[in-house]
Amino acid sequence: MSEKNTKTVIRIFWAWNHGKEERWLSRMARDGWHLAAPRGIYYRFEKGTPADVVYRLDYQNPKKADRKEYLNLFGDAGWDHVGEFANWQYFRTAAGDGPSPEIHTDPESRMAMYRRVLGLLTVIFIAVWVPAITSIGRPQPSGTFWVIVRLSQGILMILWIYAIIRLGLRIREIRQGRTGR
Amino acid sequence: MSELEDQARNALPLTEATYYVLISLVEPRHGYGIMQNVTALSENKVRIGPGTLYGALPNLFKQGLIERAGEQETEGERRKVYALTKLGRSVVLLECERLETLARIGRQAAEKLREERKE
Repeated sequence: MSEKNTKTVIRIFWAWNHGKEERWLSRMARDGWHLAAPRGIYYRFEKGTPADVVYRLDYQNPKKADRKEYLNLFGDAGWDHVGEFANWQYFRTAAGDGPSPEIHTDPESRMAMYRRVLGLLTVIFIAVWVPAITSIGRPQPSGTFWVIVRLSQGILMILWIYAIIRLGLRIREIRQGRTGR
Repeated sequence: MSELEDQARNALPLTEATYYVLISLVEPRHGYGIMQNVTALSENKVRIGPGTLYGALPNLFKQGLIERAGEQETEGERRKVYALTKLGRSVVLLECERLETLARIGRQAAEKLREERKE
């Protein structure tokens, strides 16, 4: 009778929708599943005592010299660093009685965070997709395999553009003060 | 008008978070010290989250408003201490004056409106 005390769950979240991800992680904690390692779409959980925990994500890539300072700042403010994946930093803290504590407390820093994500997506887009677009019309290898490759490239590119647009809209929403988080 | 003051004027107006961070640094403090001080100064009304503070500090460095002032060791961890630069001091002074002026002018208007309401 060995009860499993770790499990891995696969879930996909959009970058502008990390609030949903945070709430999901809190629900898992309430069921006693505490995030042990975020690995992109793979989330490893460990079984523990059910707890009311607030999760928050920051998008930040502190340089080596700054890393300690960064983590100390969060640690001092009562946040545990759970892990990171691709510059997404996962923090958690015990839920208090008041409203959920925030790691970003003004619209400027919320916008700055989305701009960092948007910046990376745009750079990759230019580096990877612009060459791909310019190759349209040139002679292409034929066959089912290449059709599938091009089709999945196309779908990925549409998703990419969608993500860029949504992030841009999110930034605009915050600038116009229409949303708190 | 001095060149420093001109430069300081360019940094205005400050965002609320920046304002609180800068007035906290009238005395050198480390990051957590800033967050605690803001909470205390604002009587718990304003909080600066660590994500916001970490994002704000490099900007203030870039603008030349703050500088490193050594390190402080607490609980075996060394923490960077920040202080206002000369320019930073000018900015705080000018911003406080600006806000005082705004508040004074606003008060006159508010009194007039209150009287209108009474009538």
